[in-house]
Amino acid sequence: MENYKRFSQSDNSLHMIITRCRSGDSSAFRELMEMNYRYTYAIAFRILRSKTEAKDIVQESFIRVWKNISSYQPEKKFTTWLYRIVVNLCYDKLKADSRRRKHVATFNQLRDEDLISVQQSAERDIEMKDMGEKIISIAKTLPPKQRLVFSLRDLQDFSLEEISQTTGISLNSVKANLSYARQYIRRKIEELEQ
Amino acid sequence: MSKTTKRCSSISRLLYLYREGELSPKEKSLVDNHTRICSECTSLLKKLQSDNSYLEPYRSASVSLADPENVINATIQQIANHKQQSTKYKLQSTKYQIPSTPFTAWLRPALIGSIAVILCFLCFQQLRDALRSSALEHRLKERTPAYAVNQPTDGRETDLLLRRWRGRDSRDGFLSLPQSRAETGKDLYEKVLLLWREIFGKKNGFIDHLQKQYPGLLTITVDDGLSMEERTILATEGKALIKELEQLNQEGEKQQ
Repeated sequence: MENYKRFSQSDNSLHMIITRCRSGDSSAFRELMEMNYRYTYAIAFRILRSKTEAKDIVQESFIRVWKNISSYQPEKKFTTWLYRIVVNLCYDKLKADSRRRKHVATFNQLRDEDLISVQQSAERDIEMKDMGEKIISIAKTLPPKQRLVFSLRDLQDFSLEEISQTTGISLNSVKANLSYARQYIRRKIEELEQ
Repeated sequence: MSKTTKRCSSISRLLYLYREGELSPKEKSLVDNHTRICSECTSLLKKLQSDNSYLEPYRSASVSLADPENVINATIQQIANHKQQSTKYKLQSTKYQIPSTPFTAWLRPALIGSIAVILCFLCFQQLRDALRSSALEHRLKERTPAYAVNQPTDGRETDLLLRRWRGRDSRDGFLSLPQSRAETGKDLYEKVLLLWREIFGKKNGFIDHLQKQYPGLLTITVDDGLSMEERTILATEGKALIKELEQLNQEGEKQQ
């Protein structure tokens, strides 16, 4: 597993690359992307659980880096800045998906029976999976903030401080969201087991 | 609710945060002490720990981007497009700028200058009014003869003065007399008012203003730009009437 803290690039060479990027050198930007795309993709994938969406997030993140490289403060860690962009984009995506789901449900005016049958078929799909997959599938139904915190902690292995730093959510709120997420998942598993 | 259940509900939030580094040492010891005596919470904690262990393969699984070169190239291409677009927009924005001609070059300073002149004029007017008003007020207070004879007032000054004095019942004895005097010599009082109204009313609404603001008003020494003839009338008939009024007042007071 790639480790957040075990970033192999020396600070000096990274700063040189960033300086070149600032002056508009696209070959330097290619180097920067090659250094960081793996971990960026891993974070996006573990939050969104979709290869296509994670790939789009990687592209969008680096485009944002290019556009805003002048506002990056060299005294701060580059990776923290980059991961913040990635996580924010993923969070926006989760929120947009959640809104869309609600909108579609309202738009189609699904009847209660239809909703129940959709839920039942989703539960049957989950029952067929192994426990890890079950948890991940249930996590997909969490509210965006809880899903983000849960993914970063339980799937990406960020510490609570790192989550707070990267997402901008307060430490107490991170703890509360994580607790609710795990509680919800446990309850759902117990419902499936009965 | 039993004691254990109460304790369980207060500890449950901490149970869900039992993974390493999530609880403070104090919170951790609370959970440890509780799970020693509560089988239900111990079982929940075990379940949560096994949930976490089920996710371990997903945490350690290597996630790799398929065809990274393609993604990098696509991103670089998008950046190049963005660069081109921004150059284009820059050119366009230069194209649509207003050309600088001698006329447009003067337009801005002229506008700023005229706004400054207007502002200065307004400030000057305000300052002048304030000074005028305070000087008039001073003169009225002191009853300087110079004011009574030589310094005419105008409607604007009167308004300023009234605005300042509004809400004050008896500033001094100059503009008002006690109500009782006016009542004892009511007819004469009316007569004096009538005379004054004839004289001052022609010039401006000063007397009406004063009458409205100070209902007990009997004497006034404000010169309102009167002609000599008018001033004579005021000096003779007005003074005589006032004298008569004062006598009547004194008599009335004696009778009382």
